[in-house]
Amino acid sequence: MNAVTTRYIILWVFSAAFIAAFATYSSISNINLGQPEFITGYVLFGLMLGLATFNARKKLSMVPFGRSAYWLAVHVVGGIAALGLFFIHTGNVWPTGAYEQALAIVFYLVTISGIFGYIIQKIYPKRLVQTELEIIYERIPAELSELREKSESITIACTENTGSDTLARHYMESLRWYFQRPRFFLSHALGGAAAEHWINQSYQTVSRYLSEAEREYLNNLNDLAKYKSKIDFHFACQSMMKYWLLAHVPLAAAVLALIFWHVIVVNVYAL
Amino acid sequence: MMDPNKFRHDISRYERPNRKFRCGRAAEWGKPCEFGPDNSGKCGGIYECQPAQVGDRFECRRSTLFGGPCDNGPGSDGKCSQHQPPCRPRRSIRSLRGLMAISAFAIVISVIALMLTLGSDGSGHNVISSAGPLTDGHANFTSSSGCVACHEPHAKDAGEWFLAAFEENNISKNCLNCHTFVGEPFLAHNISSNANKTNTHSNNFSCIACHSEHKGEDFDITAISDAKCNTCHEREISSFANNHPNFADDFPHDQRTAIRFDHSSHITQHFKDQRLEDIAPTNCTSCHEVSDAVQSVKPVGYQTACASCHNDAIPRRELVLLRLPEFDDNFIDLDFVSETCGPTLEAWEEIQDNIATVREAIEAEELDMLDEEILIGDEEEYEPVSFDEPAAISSYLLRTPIDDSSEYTEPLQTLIVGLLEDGSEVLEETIAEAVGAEGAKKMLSGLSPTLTREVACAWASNEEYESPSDPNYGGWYAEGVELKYKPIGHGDPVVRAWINFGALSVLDDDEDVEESGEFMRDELLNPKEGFGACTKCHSVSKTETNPLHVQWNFNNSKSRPHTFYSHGAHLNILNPSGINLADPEAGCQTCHKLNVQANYGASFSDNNPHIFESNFDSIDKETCTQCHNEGQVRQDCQLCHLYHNETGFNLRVTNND
Repeated sequence: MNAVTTRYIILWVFSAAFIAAFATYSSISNINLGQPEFITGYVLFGLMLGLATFNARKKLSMVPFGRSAYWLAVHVVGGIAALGLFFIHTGNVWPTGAYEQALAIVFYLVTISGIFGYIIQKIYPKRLVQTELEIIYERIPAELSELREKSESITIACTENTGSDTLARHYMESLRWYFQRPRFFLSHALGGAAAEHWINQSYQTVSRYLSEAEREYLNNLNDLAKYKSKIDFHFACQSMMKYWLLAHVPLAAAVLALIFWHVIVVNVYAL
Repeated sequence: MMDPNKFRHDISRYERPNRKFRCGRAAEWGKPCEFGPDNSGKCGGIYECQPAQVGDRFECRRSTLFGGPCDNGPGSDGKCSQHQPPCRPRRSIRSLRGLMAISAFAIVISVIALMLTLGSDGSGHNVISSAGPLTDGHANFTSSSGCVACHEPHAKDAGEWFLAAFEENNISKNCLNCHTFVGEPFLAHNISSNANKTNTHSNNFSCIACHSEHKGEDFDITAISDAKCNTCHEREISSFANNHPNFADDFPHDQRTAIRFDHSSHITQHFKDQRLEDIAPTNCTSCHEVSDAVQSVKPVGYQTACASCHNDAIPRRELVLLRLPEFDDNFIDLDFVSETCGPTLEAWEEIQDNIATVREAIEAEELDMLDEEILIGDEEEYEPVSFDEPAAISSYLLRTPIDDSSEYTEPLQTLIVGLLEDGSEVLEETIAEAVGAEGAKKMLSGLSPTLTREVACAWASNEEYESPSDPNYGGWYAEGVELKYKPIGHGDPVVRAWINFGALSVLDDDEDVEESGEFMRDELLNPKEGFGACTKCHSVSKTETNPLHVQWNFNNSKSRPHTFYSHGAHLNILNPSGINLADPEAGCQTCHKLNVQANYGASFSDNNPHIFESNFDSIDKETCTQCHNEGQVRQDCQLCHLYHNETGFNLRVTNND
């Protein structure tokens, strides 16, 4: 068992104990005619604030607040614990008030987006390693630009050296679109092979019309296309791993804003 | 595998993903420039290099990545000669994420602020403050006053509203604006004695501890789990069948019935009498109304159930209001009586005789021979026409002893003269002093002033009153030396008023008066004589507040205010023997078994409502557990027990105000 697994097991056990303790407290308090919602509410509020500090931790990477991996583990387990505490606090899955319903919707979206992010963070890195290619996300545009230049050079050289424009026309009609920018985003993100099929089909479509000399240039272009497909795959996966936070973080901010008003209203009307 | 040397520092750009902006050319999948945008988001790649001044010359500093120093070099002003149109830098993902997070927070706050200002009636505020729809019952009652009906801070201005968050709210006290309970509302089960219990909740309950609102229109706000009951009760009950205590030995007959009806004697003797064969009830439902049966199965009423046998006896039970007693002397001014009433027949005949005698004497010129009696009047000794005692009622009202004629003669004669002068008014005033004007009116309802005056005239003249007709239809009448009331029928309000008067008559500071009242009461409530026969069926109770109280109507038992049983819910089911409980012959006997050995009548002798021996056997727990058991019929606490004590609504709610 590696350290990461051990870390998560400890946190899950702690989290389960935390939830079980509050579920028990809530049940006993409720039976004893108490109002456990107030305690569970404030604990949930504190937990949400604690989860939000993970974002701040990432911004303050220079400060030694502990390894980011620990923070991530706490954030993941704490987020699931927050969902459990939310159910304990509300006593049901769907509240009755319009405002509480809005709060619940946003809370659920935050949770769902978080779970989604956690899952893709677990799946995509392994799949990226399988491409045997490493590329920094920010360098992808430059790399694509370079590939485009290379593919155009090959096409021009083919025309100049063989005197045939068949490959050049094929490039202009088909391959140019492909090299222009990352393609087949959804297929790559979902683990499909649409790009490979498209490359093979493109190759086979033009190959039979080319001479042996031209086919050599086509083979070079095909290698570049396959290489680009890997970059596209990186782009799709890395984009997913970055862009899910565009939903998760703003939704989390919205939840906190909604909670602030909820806390005020509860204190004014019910406490 | 990518060439690891490809991104060496001297042949590739240095990426800075933490910057706010990224190159616009790269964003459009072109080749990014060397410098990238600045922090304000302006393109930094218009010029390909930033020439450096070396001595008095400028040197090209284009990196090898972009082709190294150019041929043209910088101009004399130090500007790069290789320039291109600026790009439109884009925000980095990190920056975009921060911006979106701030925006999301700001949007939520803005929407909340906007909602607070929406609607002149604060409808926007209500939407974001309401925890959910109210239950059906509360939704209508709070519609006129809105949230403030329960939440006082809602009506306050913004500052006070916010400060209310730091003050304690007591929503439960507002519940009492509409809800009423017999007993203390915030004590356990509304029972005052629970104030001293050690349980933390027993002396400070809040309504919201059990009743949660804002859970939707159809939410059952009164539902309480058994576990909550067990919180306070020392004896924890897991289920009714399992360990609920057995019922008391006299359950459910621990309180005496309001109507004294001996089921045993009626069922085993009277109803079997051959003479009553046609009118005797045949089963329980002949006398008990099951169509609207709930906690009790009310009797169908006197007229249907009892009148056929008992109606004839009622008019024979008369009340004697006044009786002309034996007087020691006559203090009544007879001339006044004569002037007011005119001569009596006897006096008139005597006068006529005297006139004739005088006339004869005048004609015979023998006036000196006339008796002195005729000339100056008869001064014969007073001889009372009655040798009875006064009525107990008049003695009590006049505060005179019933057996001492020297004490009662003058007050009673004064009363007779008063009756003579003012009719029944003086009697009404005398009674009003004891029970108030309203009560006196009820008690003398139908008493004719003429009758009163005629009776007074006769009695003032020391004569018996001769009634011109018989009182066939009941009401006030006089006969001889008594002014009486004959009941019109069952439920006669005059009879009821007099018996109530009698029941309350012993409350007086004066011992003599109290004794006199007790005597009158015993006469009025004597079941063997007069009006008192009512108490043969209507039980008399001695309570803490009233000396005696006659129970005129059937009423539900209040000895177990926290227990509920619905007869109606049981009527359409079969008992374990397969007999329908609604079966008039045998269904009722599933639970109610006649106990012919019980001394039912003895329960009423001491006027103590708490001493009671029913005609029926007590019901034990096993009767209920035949059906209310695990896996069968419900057996939760709330099925049979009510938490509150006699809940109700105040007038404001019942008026829908």
